[in-house]
Amino acid sequence: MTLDYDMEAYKDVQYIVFRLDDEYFGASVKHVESIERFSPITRVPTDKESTIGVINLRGEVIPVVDPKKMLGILDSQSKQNSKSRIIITDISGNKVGILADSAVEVCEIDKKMIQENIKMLKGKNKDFFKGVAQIKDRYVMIIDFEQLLWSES
Amino acid sequence: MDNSNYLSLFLEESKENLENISRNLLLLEKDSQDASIIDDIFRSAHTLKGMASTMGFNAMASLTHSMENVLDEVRKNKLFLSPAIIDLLLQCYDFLDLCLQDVELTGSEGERDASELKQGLLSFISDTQAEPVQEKEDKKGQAKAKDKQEEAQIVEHISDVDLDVYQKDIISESGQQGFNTFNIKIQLVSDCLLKSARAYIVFRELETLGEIVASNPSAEDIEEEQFGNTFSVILVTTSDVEAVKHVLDLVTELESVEITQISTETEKPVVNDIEVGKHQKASPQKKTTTSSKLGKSIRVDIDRLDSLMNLVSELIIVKNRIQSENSYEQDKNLLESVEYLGRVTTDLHETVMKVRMVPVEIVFNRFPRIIRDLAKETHKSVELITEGSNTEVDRSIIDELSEPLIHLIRNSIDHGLETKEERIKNGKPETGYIYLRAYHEGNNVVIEVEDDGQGLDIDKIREKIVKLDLASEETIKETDDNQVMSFIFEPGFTTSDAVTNISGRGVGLDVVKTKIEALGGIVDISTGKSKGTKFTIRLPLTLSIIKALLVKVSDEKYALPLGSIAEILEVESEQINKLKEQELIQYRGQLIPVIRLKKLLKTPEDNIREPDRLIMVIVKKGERHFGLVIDDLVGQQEIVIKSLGEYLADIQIVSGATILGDGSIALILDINHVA
Amino acid sequence: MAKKILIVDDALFMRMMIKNILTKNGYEVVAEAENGLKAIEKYQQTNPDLVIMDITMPELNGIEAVRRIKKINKDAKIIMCSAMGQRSMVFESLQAGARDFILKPFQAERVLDAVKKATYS
Repeated sequence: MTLDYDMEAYKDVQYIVFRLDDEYFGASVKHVESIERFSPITRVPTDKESTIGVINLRGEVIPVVDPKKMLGILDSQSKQNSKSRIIITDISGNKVGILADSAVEVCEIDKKMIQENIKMLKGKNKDFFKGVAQIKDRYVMIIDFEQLLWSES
Repeated sequence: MDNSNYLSLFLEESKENLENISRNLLLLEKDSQDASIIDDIFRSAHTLKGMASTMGFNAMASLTHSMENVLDEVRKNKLFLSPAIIDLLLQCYDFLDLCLQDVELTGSEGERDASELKQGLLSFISDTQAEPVQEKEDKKGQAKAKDKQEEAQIVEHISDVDLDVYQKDIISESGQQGFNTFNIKIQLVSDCLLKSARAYIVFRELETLGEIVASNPSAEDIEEEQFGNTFSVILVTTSDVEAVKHVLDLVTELESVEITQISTETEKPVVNDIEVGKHQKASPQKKTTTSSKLGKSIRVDIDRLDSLMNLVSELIIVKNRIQSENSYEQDKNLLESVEYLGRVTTDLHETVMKVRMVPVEIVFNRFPRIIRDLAKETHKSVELITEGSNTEVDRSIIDELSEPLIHLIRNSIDHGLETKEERIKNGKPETGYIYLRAYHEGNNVVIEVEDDGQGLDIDKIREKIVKLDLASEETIKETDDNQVMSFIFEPGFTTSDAVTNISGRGVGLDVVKTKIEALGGIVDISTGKSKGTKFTIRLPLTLSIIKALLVKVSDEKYALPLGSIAEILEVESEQINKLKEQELIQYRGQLIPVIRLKKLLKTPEDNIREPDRLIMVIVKKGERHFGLVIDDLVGQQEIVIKSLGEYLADIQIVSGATILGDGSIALILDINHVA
Repeated sequence: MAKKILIVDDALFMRMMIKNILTKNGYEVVAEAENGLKAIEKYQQTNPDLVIMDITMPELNGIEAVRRIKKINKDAKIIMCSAMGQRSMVFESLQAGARDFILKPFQAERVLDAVKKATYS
């Protein structure tokens, strides 16, 4: 009998819920390193529309992206204000910040609570949508940061 | 559980040992009689075996074991070292090398099958003795450690614990006083982590019974984790074997325990039932070739140096921050202190940098072997001449250097050097030469790969460029030879109907260029028909801190590496000419391209009307110059390069970023891609 | 009679895992504690045969807890539970009197082997 346990299993049920415009999104905290407040963003010359620039996070230079552009569901462009947060993701040591209009909470979402196979969003919203979960009185769209940021589209 | 913590150390040491094997095998080809060389190879194979089996790399472990067996026979003069054996051992080297590469990339040794090689090795010694076939089993039965304990007289022949006079005295004295003396050999389970802590428990438990008078390796080495999976101790105790056994039974993660009583009647301790390490006796450590390397040095984990470097970087950032406070200049004392701080940080940076330096020898040592094989393959006679192999380069560069250099050397042998017949026909010596040179030049290290082969035909290249539509016929006519030559680094420069006498010459050179440029370096080529070809690689000495010029483009700040700046000029806007879409300017008698950074970097619109006088930074890329138009100069300073990370890796014109004194970020422009 | 064991770890998750392994194999988990201070309290209350102790914990770390428990009972049997890369802390706790150590992530058989050997008497 060999059982290899790891903490990842535990982190799997923890989700961060954040807001983009009026919609709520959730993503597993296993890829989240921290949540940061406003920080000046330095523009970088790139053709990637979703890349806003880089920030200085305690001496580290970290790219920041606008998820709205990637999700392709909202037209508006993210602007930083006092409520907005940068969610710092860490996937295999590569850090990327995701600009959110606000961070709502960190909560437990059981896998069973996530309804998969719902075609919420028109068209090509492929692999990064994991489903929808109802938390309290709101619907939260569950997305996978790894797929969102790193899968070639 | 995994051994990943030890992986880098394993890789580093294994590579060293493997290089040692290769180098010595080539020496043996010249003189197969030198016993000390064989000893040296044997030791390296043995060390490799120990490390590989510790890490659970079974193919490597079992192959090195077979190599060891053959070498041992040779060493005992039971087997003549024929060229065939050397060849086979070199093949083993290749196998192990591939395994190591896989380990480096994937953390596992891959799915290679060493059985053919092992069979081959076995066939050489089958007359003298049979190969013990038990090693596989040793690996498996961890779960059944209990039944294994009895039969665990395994291949590993450890020598007895070395005793000095004082220790012998204790043992013989204790014998007279009715104490028992045991030689206890402990083997830890193969996936044991924190072996030193495990050994600590063994020591502690045994010391409840008596006194440990000696151990092999020494207690210090054990504490420093400098041992394989086994160690031995000599215990003097009033207890009997059973009691010792019982205590050790209760310690976890022990694969096997061998207890032998040492009789104390004779002066010299004699072990009853195990053979004294006979190999050790057969070859009392003669002239050890490796010992010459053991100067006063220590082995430091590269990560520690990296973090030291990071700290130095932080220091420089802080210094820059103080300097960016305007007020400091008014206070004379403060001004002096800051200047002093500046000198100290610069010195500190240089010192740390020096510590990180390793000689290019590490890479160069691979090449004799590669050249030997390629020469055989192509039926050419090739001699390698290396110069400056003690030139030092930053550790992080060295690792990346091997691949492009191998590429260039292959190219030279494959396509550069003529066949023996051709060479004789052309009045050249039959043997072709390849020169590998390394030297320092300013803040750069330069590496040259030169051959005395047929060279490139510049006219044929011109034809080819036109044919591939890379440039128009008129332009290419006016372009100087050096620039024409640089086209061979374009991806796919020679594709299908390659020009015959430079056939294949361009294939893969773009890969070399990409790799070198990724390291912040450049590669140039010079050649003459039938005079040979020379590739020159220029690399920065260090990667993390550079002197840079800070400039403003619109409202954004950018850093330009000082190393690539030739001059800063002020020019009238009417001095700029336009040829089709390309703006050009006269610079030292040459027309050079003008690049407007505002346009290139797509800075946000501003309403500033273009002034009549432009600030232009002249940068050089190899032999060529470019003029970069900027909006303002900010100043010159040492900056710390921070990576933009994987996510933005496709932005080529930016090689990294730096954090300025006020905490803001300036992007560092990569001149090689801007121009 | 089943051996009594006290599990100390600040992560509920880890305590659950260890508890699972132990109860399935006939051991009795008499108490759990989430930091060093609680561990000492629970140790005095339950007087277990064995303590499985995490090293890094809030309030009072595992090493200090070992020292204090050893003061209460010098024969107390304690197995440390450590993540990799805590070499010096493992040494420190062994010097403080811990009997053995296991490294995370665990293999159940290693845990059981250590528990069996530590509670042998």
